[in-house]
Formats: sequence, structure tokens, C-alpha cells
Amino acid sequence: MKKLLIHISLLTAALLFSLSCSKEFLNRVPYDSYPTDASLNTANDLRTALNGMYSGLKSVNLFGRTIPILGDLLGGNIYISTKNSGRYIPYNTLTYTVADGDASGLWIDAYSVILRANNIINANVPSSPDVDNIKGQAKAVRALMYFILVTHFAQPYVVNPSGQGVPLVLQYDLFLKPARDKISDVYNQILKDLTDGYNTMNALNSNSSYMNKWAARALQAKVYLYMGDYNNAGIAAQDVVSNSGYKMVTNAAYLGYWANPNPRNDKLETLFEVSFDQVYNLATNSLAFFYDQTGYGDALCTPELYALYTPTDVRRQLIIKGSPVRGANALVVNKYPNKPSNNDDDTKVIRFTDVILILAEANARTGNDAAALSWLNMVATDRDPSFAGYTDTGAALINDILTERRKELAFEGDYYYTNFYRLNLDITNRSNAFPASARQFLASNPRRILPIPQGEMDNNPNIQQNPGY
Amino acid sequence: MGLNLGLWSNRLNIDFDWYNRKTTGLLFNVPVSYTSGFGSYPDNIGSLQNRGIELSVDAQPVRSAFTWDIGFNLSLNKNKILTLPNHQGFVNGSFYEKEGYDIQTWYVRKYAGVDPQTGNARWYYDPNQYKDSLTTSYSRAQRILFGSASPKGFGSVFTTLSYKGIKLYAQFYYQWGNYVRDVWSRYTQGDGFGAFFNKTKKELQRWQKPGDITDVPKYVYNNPTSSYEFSTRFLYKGDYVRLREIQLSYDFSPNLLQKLYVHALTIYLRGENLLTWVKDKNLVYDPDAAGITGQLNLTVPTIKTVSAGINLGF
Repeated sequence: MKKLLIHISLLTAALLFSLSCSKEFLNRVPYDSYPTDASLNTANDLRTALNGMYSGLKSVNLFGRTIPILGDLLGGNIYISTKNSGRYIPYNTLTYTVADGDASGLWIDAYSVILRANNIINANVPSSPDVDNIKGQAKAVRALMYFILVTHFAQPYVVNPSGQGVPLVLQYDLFLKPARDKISDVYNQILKDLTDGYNTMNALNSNSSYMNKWAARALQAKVYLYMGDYNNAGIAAQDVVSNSGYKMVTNAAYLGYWANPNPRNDKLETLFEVSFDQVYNLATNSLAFFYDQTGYGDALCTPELYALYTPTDVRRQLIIKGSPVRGANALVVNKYPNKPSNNDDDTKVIRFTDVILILAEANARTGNDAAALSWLNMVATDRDPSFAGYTDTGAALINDILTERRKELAFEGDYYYTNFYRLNLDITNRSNAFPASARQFLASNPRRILPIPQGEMDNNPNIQQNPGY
Repeated sequence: MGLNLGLWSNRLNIDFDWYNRKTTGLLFNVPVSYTSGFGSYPDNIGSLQNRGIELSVDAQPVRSAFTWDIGFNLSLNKNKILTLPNHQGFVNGSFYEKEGYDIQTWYVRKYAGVDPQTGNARWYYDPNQYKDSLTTSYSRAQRILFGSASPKGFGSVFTTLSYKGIKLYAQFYYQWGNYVRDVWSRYTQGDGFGAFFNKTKKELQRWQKPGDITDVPKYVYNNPTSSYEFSTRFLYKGDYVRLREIQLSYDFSPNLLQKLYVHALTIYLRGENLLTWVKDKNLVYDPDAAGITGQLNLTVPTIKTVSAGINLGF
């Protein structure tokens, strides 16, 4: 009887206990499927989302490899060796079609980063210096992505500012099938985002792998340059050169600068870069592996570019003559010597020297040849101590600036876009390393801009393809 | 719905089934514009119908000291998409999903052979509208719905002959009605693309001088055209018949075995997948290796084996 009583009382106690527990204990939300508005509520949440956004830039189709390769391959600073892994061949021969995977990957991944930026920018978190700094970084990265998209997929600004740009998506909308916005609208949004970023970001957000106020200003200078607005380009570039506290890397430190695989916080040269390391890298898909002769080693420097460097130019030492697998005459690019196993080299997005050269060009184009020469020679005579300096003026000076840009920014994805695409200039001597049908890349060639991917055309009836595809 | 018949003390057996199966709430990745940041989202959309028959016939025409069994089975299946949201078709990789069509309908540009004067590959510009208009621009050629990766039917035929202890068994498998795609053709038949890859013999039939009639374009190192891209040039009929198994065996009679304390002993010689007849003479791979999605991706083909053995029963 006693036992029964104990059992009954235990049972009752258990029952009461279970009834008093809230049912919510049993309701669990899946960790990996949070709706956006429930997940971005505090500055800490935004910081996590920000890391996700930066991570998106590392895609092989963006700054991981395609962007730094394309600008130099299309322009003719590099070519794909006959012994290759099958990558970027249509860009070597200028025969890419709507089905091309690299063009498609660039489009898809750029919009994926834009979505991550949009989620941060549109998050309903009360304003504070911290939150504004984070949102400013997101705006700057969004601007960078739209700049990449509009320059790769749409006509140059100078050709037709009211032409078809790319769809401007500033909010998440899964079912939207947008048409292409005007080129000028896209550029205006880019400028607005960079200005907002400049106003709300910190001057240095821990290290060069994070967007910061001066990187945004430098990008703005470049965007104005592409628009042909040399006045504003000059103002923005001068702002960075005078007020940012960044310094140009000099001759003595040059090789060490490129041999360093890590981001920096000493305000030397790098304004913004996409960073990789031993843990997070693209392994065989990395940029360094693509140049490394013990890796794929597909991309080699063209002889025409190599010939531009004098023997006393420190930049010439970034190119090595002879490859164990491609012959004694192969010109191997050694700007990215650090393989993924050695912390993997970063991809520079914008550098101080680039800004100086933008400043030089802005001055030259607004009639201030003396100042232009001063800035240009600051770079040229540092890189080549035995060079006395340029003395040209007018159109010849502009050519000198473009040549110096080619030599300085080689292998960084800038050459084709800044020297030819932006100005709508023909390329008449791309390099003899290319097949005969691909030695010219005229402004009239429809392939000067990439095709809107077939997948986008299929999924979005409102979008128009580029002519010639 | 089915029917089972056994006639003449089971010397003839017929099994017949007819089915009509409707599946609703299918999980598909519905494509969206990439500008949204995503390429697709999973949704329970649409409904699908599979309708077909399964027939199995088994007969023993001769039953005496010498027996002969023969039979076959046959499966026919017709798949059709019934409804999609908004009745909108969409592209799904190399396929197109459309109401009224098979779920694995190929969506592909139609290859139009080679221009005899220039050796360039050509495609039909828009086979549905302009029947004869050709173009040398791959991008501008329109894609069409062309066949399906799902076979119309398949089955096997089997037969056994036995006399005293000797038994001969053979089984054939057949399949027809599907199209398979050679995914690696861009390298193995690249006409100069992927120059360092091995090529199939078909490349030897390339166009060489004006006036040549062939369907293999001219071979140019690094191939600046798009002749190697996916089109009906690389879609082949997947029809084939295969001798799946043939086995010759001998069962020793129990009388002989008594002395060995073994109650059953059989020796056999068996061959598997020895012969295959592929209908499409241009297909150099095993159509079976394409699997359910109809893509030949340098997959390991079915291997031929010959084995011999002994079965002992204690």
C-alpha cells in the first residue's frame, strides 16, 4: 500500500511538473533557415552578415580569379599557353558565347554579393556610428559590384550614357524579373553609394581587407574617370593622395610588397584587397595557382608587355624568364608567388599608385600638364631609377600615362578596362602570342562586352541581350 | 489494373499490368532571375503523369526429355507533365519542362552539318518557324524541344534449353526510344578545341577542302567557332540490345554423386554482357552508361565478363 502511494504521488508530481513547463520548449527554429528580418537585429548580427558579404567577393568568378585575369587577357598583357587546363580559352581567342561559364559565373556571383549587401543596408537596425560604419561598408561593396557589372556587361559610359546598363536591384525580391537600367542610372547609384560610404565609414576598418573611407573615395575617382568627368576624378584622387595618410610603395619595398600574402594595417599602398589565407583559399582555383608553373601555370606574360620594361625597372623582376614546363622563352608572371599553402596571395582591388596615376591623367585631361607630369614621374622614376622622367605634353602625355598604367597595374585586371574599354579605343596589336584571328580587338567588336548569361535570358523575359550575341 | 493467366498446366503464363500514376506537389527548383541573388527556389509545383504497361510472358513450348522455355517481359512507360505553375515552361539544364511533354525533354540547337564550301559548322536558325534557314552563329540559333532522355520501353527476352543435365540459358535486354548526350564531346570531338585531348575516330572525317560533304567541321587548332558546343550533333539514339547473360551448365545426376557425399554438383560457364548491338552507329560509347539523366560523362561502361564455376550442395 505504501509503495502504491509513493508511486501515485511520484506520478502526480511528474504530471504537474510537465504541465507547468511551457510548450515553447518543444518549439525549435532551424538554425540555418532564419528569415532575414528575424536575423538582422543588432550591430553584431550585421557584422556577421558583413563577413558573409566579404566572403562572397572571394569567389573564383569574382576577385578569386576571373576579374584579375580577364582585364589582362582581353587586353593582351597575358595569353593562355598552348599547354593549358582548358580555362578561359574563349577569352584567349575572343570567341565566348552566351553559354560561357565564366561570364555567367561573374554575373551570378556579383548579384549574390549585391544581395548580401542589400540585406545589410536595408536591415532595420537603429542608427549608431557602428551600424552606420557597417552599412557604409556594405554600400561601398555594392557600388564596387555594380561597377564591375556595368563595365563588364554594358557599353562604356562615353559611348552612350542612356544605353542599356544592368538591372539595379537595391532590395531583395525573389520574383522580380527586372529589365536593364540605363547606364547613367547605374553610375549615379554607384557614386551615391560611394559617397554615403565615404561619409559613414571609418578611415581604416582594421586592415586592408575591409572597405574603408579612402578606398571608397579612390574607387569614386576611378568611376569619375570612366565617366569622362576628369574634374571630379581629379578632386577625388587629390583627396585620397593628400588626406588619406596612405603612402605609395617605393622601389626598395616593392618586391617585398608583392611577396607579402597578408593584408596590412600600415596604410602602405593597398587601399582595399580581397584576402585569402591558409585556411580560406580557392586551392587549385586560386589566382596564384593559375600563374604558378607547378600549378596550372596557364597564363603567361606576353613578350610585348615584357619589352616595355627596361632592365632597371624593378617591376621587371616580377616576371621570370623560363618555365620548367613551358620552355626557356616562356615569360612567367611572379606577381602572385604565394600559393594557397603559403597563405595565398590576395587580389588587390585598388591601390595608392593607381590613384596617383588617375590624378596624373585627370590633370592632363584638364589642361594641367605640369602637375600631370609631376605625378606621373613620381611613379615612373621611382620604379626605374635610371629613368629621367617623361617630358611630353598633350596627347603624347596621355599615352605616356596609359603606358605607365599598363606597366604598373599589369596582371591586376585593369589594363583592358581602363586603357581601352573606358575610352572606346581599338586594340590593334593585342600580341602575336594570340591566334591570328584574335590579334585585334576593335571597339566595333560586339565581344568588347560580355553576353548576358543564357540562364538569365531564360529566367527573365524582360532583359535584353547585348547586340551580336 | 492487371491480369494473370496460366494456361495448359502452366506451360504458358501471362502477366499483364496497366498503370496510370499521377504525382502531384512535385518538388522542383523553379528558376528566378539571377539578379535576385539566387538562381532558383524549391517549390511544390505541378503534377506529373506516368502511364504504362508491364507485360511478362513465359512459355514452355517443349516439355519432354528435352525442354525449351522461352519468355519475355516488356515495360512501356509514357511520362507527361500535366500542370506547371502559371502554365509556364522553363529551362532545366539541358532539358525543358513543358506541359504535355516528357519531363526529360531535351532543349537543344539543331545541328545542320557543315557548309561544303567553307567547312564551318551550321545550325538551324529557328527550326519551328523558318524550316531551312541556317546560321553559323551558335548563339543566334534557337533551341527546340527534341526527343527525351527517358526510354519509351525496355525489357528482356530469355530462354532456356535443357536436355538431361545440360542447360543453356540466355537473356537479352533491350531498350529504345531515348536520346543520350555525349558531354565530353567538346574535348573528344572539339574540332580543334581542347587540342591536347584525345579524339574519336569521327574527327578523321573532317572537312578538308571546298566541295567535301561531311558532318564533321574543319579542324582548326584552338577552334575559334562554337562547333563543339551542345547541339543535336552530340545527341544520339540510345536504342540497344545486349546479350546480358549466357550460361552453359551441367548438373550431375544425384546417382553419380551418392558416393561423394554431395547431393548436388553443377559446373557452369557463364558470359555476361558479351554482345551489344547499338542502333546509332555514330555512338561510340555504351548507351547504358548514360544513366537515368541521359548524359554520357566518360562513365565506366558495363564490363564484359566470362566466368566459370562449380556449385556444390552438401
